[in-house]
Amino acid sequence: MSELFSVVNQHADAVAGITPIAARHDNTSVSSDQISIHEWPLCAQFNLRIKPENSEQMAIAAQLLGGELPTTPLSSVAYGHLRINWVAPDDWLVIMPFEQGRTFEADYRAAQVGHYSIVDISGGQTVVELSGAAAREVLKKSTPIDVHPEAFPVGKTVGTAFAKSAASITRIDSDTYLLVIRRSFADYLWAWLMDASAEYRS
Amino acid sequence: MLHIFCPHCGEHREEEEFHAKGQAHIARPADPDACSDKEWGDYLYFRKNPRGIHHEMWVHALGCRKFFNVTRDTVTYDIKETYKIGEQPRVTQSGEHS
Repeated sequence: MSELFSVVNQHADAVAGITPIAARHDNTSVSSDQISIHEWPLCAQFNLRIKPENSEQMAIAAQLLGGELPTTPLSSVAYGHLRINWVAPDDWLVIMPFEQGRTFEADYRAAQVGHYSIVDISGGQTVVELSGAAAREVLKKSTPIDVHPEAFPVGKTVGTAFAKSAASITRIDSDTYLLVIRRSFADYLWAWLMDASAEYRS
Repeated sequence: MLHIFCPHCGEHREEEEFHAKGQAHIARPADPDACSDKEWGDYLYFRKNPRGIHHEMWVHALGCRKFFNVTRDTVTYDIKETYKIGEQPRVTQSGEHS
């Protein structure tokens, strides 16, 4: 394992279980028969950047990720426990279980060639899952994006405005959405989600 | 609210996802040391302020975070086209469509 991760290794136990919303709220999971909202446990998140025209680099990335990086704009794919969101033509967000992240970055740096970028952004953002029949209603209150099923099919991911902040919204199942939000806005957005979902939980 | 087509995301988005970044197609002088003060000053500080067709740079700040160019009518706010950095506009001041 690379020297890169010595700091994370030393504090692996300390950071396990600490997520931006859990740090400020006792309960990070609410649900009713119409909606369920919960924060994911701490994940490893990476920002990957390579040129999609570079087939050698794309092949190396695909081998380590267990599948191709999605090159279709606004598409999201899952390979096992790993999710990859298209962010821009040469920019992807990779989310995986926290334990896998430490070796993934070292393996990626060892295998990748040429001019590329991989940045560990695990501590910078958190993942909130919205599910249930009313999940779409909550999104409609919060974002200018068209979330009609025809305009927002399963497997679509968008970066957009969310409340007075920003979020990446991914539809991972017919009634299930993932929000990736900034750590520093997590408290505010959790309060927003609790307010927006209140009528579906009473 | 403007409805802006992002050439990278390939769909229309609300204006609040974008920021305007000023005049497009400003080429940095290849050899700054050889510039006169006037040439360098024009490059750094002087911008067009046309009435009518204007080519602007915008950034999809909350989306793909990429820059692109917009041809916009400053009188009507009508967006004529959006195109990627490095491409040339199809709609120009004289109204030609090449």
